[in-house]
Amino acid sequence: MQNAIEMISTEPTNPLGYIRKGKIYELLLEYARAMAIYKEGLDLADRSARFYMTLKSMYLAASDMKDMAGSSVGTIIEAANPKGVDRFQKFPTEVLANILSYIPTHDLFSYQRVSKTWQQTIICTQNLWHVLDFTQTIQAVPISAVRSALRYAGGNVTEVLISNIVHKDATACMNLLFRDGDSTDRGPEAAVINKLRSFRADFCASLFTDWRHFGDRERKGFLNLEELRVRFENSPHVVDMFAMGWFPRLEVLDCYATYDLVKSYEAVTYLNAHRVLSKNLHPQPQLRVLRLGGPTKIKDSFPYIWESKTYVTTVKGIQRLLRLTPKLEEFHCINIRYGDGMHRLVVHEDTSWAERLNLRELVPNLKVCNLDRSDLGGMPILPDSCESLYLDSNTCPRLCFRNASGGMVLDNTDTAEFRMGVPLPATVAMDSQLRDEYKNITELFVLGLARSEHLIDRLARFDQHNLTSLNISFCRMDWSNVQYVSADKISMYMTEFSFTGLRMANGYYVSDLVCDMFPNLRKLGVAHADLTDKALGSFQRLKQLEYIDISGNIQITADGVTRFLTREYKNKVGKAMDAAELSFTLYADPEDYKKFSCHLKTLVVSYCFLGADSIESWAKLGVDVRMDLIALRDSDWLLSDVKNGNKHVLYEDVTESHWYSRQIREQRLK
Amino acid sequence: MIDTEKDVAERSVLIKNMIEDVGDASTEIPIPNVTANVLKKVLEWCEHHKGDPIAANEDDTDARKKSTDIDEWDQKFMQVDQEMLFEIILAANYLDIKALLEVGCKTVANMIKGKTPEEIRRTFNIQNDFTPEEEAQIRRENEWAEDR
Repeated sequence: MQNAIEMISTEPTNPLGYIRKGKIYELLLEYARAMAIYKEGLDLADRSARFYMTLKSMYLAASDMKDMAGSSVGTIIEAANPKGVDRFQKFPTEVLANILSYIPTHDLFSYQRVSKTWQQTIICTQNLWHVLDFTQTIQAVPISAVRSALRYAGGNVTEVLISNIVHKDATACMNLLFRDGDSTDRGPEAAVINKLRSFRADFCASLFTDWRHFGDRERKGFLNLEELRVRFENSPHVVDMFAMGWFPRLEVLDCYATYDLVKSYEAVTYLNAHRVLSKNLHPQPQLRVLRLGGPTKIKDSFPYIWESKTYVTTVKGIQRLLRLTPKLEEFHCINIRYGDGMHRLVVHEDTSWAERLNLRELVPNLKVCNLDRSDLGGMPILPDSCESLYLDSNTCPRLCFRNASGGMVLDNTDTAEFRMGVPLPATVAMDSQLRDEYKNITELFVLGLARSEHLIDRLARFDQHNLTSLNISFCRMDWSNVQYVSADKISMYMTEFSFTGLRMANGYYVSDLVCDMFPNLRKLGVAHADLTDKALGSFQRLKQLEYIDISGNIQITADGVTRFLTREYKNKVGKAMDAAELSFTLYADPEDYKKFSCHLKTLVVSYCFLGADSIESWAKLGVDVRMDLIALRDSDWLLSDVKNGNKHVLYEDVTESHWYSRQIREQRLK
Repeated sequence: MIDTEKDVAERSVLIKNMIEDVGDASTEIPIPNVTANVLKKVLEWCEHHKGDPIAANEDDTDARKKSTDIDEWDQKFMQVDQEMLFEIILAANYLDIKALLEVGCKTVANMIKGKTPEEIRRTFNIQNDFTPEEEAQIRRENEWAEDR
């Protein structure tokens, strides 16, 4: 006892002294006094000290004991367990806390009723609550839970992820996290202001709409934010706030808007002159990732007409934004079209070659450029550092391409100008300039091209040897004669675009041509491309292929995929193996797969209807097979494999497949 | 008594400090709190991982601890009965072998994940020391999280 008192007097910030002193009172069954000692310790001791958490849990335990003793309800429950040993009994609290740190946040709430020890450990270990991940909940997260979590964390929350919350609570939640507001009942959770580093929300919250009325008090809440991902449709306001310097530490700004707050046919505008004055803009050199835009949406109310949602901006608006972020590495600009700055789309007659968006100057460190469904006035000038490019059939319709006879044509052959035969004043020099700018691209997405000659024309602008990852999903790759590339074109690619290794035959099928043009491909996406077994077979030429996505190709059969995977392997009769035979061989001798020497690492077969047995046998070959939930449901073996930690389900589709399939259907009708 | 190499044993911070205190690696080091067969198992782990770089400072409390990936060898290593598993964790905690402690905790966390509180009690023989009223109270408060 003397020892404990002495320790408190010499080191009032060390929790250990209080623990010892309190413990003595506890032994004397004087819980109220013990509590007082612990409380004193909690107030005086250093929060970061080693035994502070222990002290806190002892305080709570003592208060429990006091309640029990006071109401004289019961004695201490017998710890003896008739069935066996409580595995956690011997465990120090730190170890249990360590285990619990791997448990998702929402489970920590329900696990509080496992036992008192668990309850105390969960509530009193601040570390468990630094990262609040509410993304795996089925029911909506109540605001009371967010409040408790902030309290358990002692205000030291650094990351918040929320996906499911009712609208009423959403605003309250935002207020709790960002507004050092008017409320008087704010306890330790007030400390969360200034500490939050990452906020990701998949819900609607209108907090940012009235940001113009925010004062310094609200501003403090954003000061340390490094990552902000919001899905509400008023994202342009967030962009405005960003441009005015409200997020001085922000490195990742993701405003891809999934949720509708405005009517679907209304346009959303970014950084327009009438909202933000240039003199108020602040440079943001720390930003690395910027994601803008939103999905294409169909108007879903009566009358049900196809009316897509567009996000409109002026090229000037984007230029103004990018000028603020010279260190940008990733620029995702999705479904954003050229407008007049007043919510209206503009179909421009002509943009001169010199006026192209110059990303080389604006963002010289850019690595990823995603312009899916966007049109920012022609193909941008890319910096040499850019390695990944994402285009689609609507991107930059005024890119110039040459036809086989050497004349220039508009790339988008569906435009009125093309049909009327209006020639474009472009030169060969422009063409080679473009190829020079894009030579460093190693990863390319070109989606939604219904005509193969357009596809090949686009691909010809990229470097034959540098390109290692290609995604041409939603482009037609079948073997009908439409997909045949003429010999004229082949000779043009060889002579003027310096492609080597092409055959000078009468022509090429598209799938063969892609393989010969880019022999170094390691990753290939050909989802929803009307692929046949024969076309799939031609991808065997890609000797370095590690990943192939053939989702949504309903013409492909299980036999075709098996032949593709087992390559040159022949069975006893000297024939290629089919799916049933492979399945049987693997069943008869599970070790037999070694002789197939499968080169492929990942195979994606969502929405292919290939049969669970076949998919199972490919997985047994050692291929990482990804599929949709329906395909997975039919195989017990795969389900058990998933339970063992292997991921077989691909949740994300290549892109918004619905939109693309409709687009392609329309093009075919023409 | 178990013979082992110095660099194997030095995966344990406790033993490392002891060796430094003694100043001679060839002496016997008493480890009273760990039984021989558990220690053998722990040393087997240390032997396999002796080349691994020792993790730097442990002050990464803010780092996201979400990944429960365990490498294949460790997974096989941890396929022991529950008692042994918990003994290994206790020993790793006592001997201060951080990486082994993490692997053990991850393994137990994977056993817990997705289970209801009742199933957890059954799996680990945990005594429910709440009164029915208390438990109902907690359950009511956290009803939203019970759905899975």
